[in-house]
Amino acid sequence: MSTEHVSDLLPLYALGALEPDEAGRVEAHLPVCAACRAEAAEFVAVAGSLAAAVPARQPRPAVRDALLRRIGQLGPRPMRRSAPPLPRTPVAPPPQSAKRRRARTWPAINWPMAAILAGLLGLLAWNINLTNRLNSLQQQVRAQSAAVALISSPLTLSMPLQGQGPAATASGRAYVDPDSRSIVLIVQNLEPLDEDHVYQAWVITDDGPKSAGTVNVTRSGWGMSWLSVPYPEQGQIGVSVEPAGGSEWPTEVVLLEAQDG
Amino acid sequence: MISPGQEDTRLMQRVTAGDDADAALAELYDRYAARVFGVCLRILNEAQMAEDALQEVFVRVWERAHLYDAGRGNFLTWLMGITRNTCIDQLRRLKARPQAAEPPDETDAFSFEESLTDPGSAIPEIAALNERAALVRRALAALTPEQRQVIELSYFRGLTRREIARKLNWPEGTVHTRARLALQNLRLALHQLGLNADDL
Repeated sequence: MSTEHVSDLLPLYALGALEPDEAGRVEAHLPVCAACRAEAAEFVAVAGSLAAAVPARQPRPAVRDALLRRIGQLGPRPMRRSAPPLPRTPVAPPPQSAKRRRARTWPAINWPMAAILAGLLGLLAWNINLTNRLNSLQQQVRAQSAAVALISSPLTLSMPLQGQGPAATASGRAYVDPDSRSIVLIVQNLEPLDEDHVYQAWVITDDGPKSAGTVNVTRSGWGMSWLSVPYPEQGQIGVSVEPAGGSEWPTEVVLLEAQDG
Repeated sequence: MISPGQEDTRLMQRVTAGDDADAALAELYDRYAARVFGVCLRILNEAQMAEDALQEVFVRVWERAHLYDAGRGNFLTWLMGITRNTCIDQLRRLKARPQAAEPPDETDAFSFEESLTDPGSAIPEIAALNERAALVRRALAALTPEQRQVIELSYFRGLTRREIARKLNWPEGTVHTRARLALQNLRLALHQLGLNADDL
């Protein structure tokens, strides 16, 4: 879907008048198409000039006073400072506690009944499997729709990620809902991995890196994913290459959120 | 000498640095409150609601300042995006109420602008801004009435393509076509008047 050009939609996109699903199509396409991106930028600039057509009006001084009082009541505003950089060399994960096993005893079994029961359970499992697959597909569609809605909102915050080391040509962008702080991560030019490895996202704070889920990329190196950890007040987002199944600590960092200044 | 854009960036850095954050926000307010308030009045068409929206816009700036990315665009564009969205959100909430404030007739919307203008403003900065606003409106006058209607209903009233098509009884494809022509012609007209959309 994201490869289909969206030129027809761009004027109304710039004017903020697309339906949410159409705005989502545009936002999914722009990161992968320089031509549409350039056209969109022109329309957005022209639409932005509309606010300049409106006469300025001096508000009453009481509004300024009320604003500053309200700011005073809100208290110190959230500050952002850099988290320590991710370690570039593998770090041993913390030791896992051994799982305890509990011995169990089972009652005597009626085998013919058990066979019928097993058949019924098999049918039930098949049914559940089909239902789960359908639910999973529906969830994916819902997640993607929500992601493009977030990306397309003009109030959404956006932070660039830079490729690191051998992945220097890769890039990414984290889109953050300013209210819930949920994150949608889009990556580009990441080399597709073999089945023994995954890209894993991290939210890194002073307390250390916290896994934020895996990121699948297409053969062209593009990927979009909701992260499972909200955007921190202080910290940064990173992506690393890990063994399939993920790690508890980042191994080889390939993308890192650019820092201010 | 630093440009207004650089000064904005410096003020935003002070807002995020924390020490005199409220003083820096007050400076940003003093620089842009009149422009923000003008847009709030234009969209909401009611002074009290516009004042509330103005305050809300700068509270959002305060709350989100640390996430403003100067690399993505200038501060004014970011601020005006917040302003429009704050007002359109308010407008949509109002539409759900039975006694919503009625906007002026869309066909006459840009002459409505003139009624808002205070030509004898004693504040030089506002007088200068309003001279430029009049120039942008002159560029808008180069558009057909239908093209202006699309701009009015989408940008200033927050209607979607389907809502515009339904309201004006146009095919949806016509809304697309007129929106494209409107923005293309506006860009051309601004250029002919020596204005660059990026600098507004």
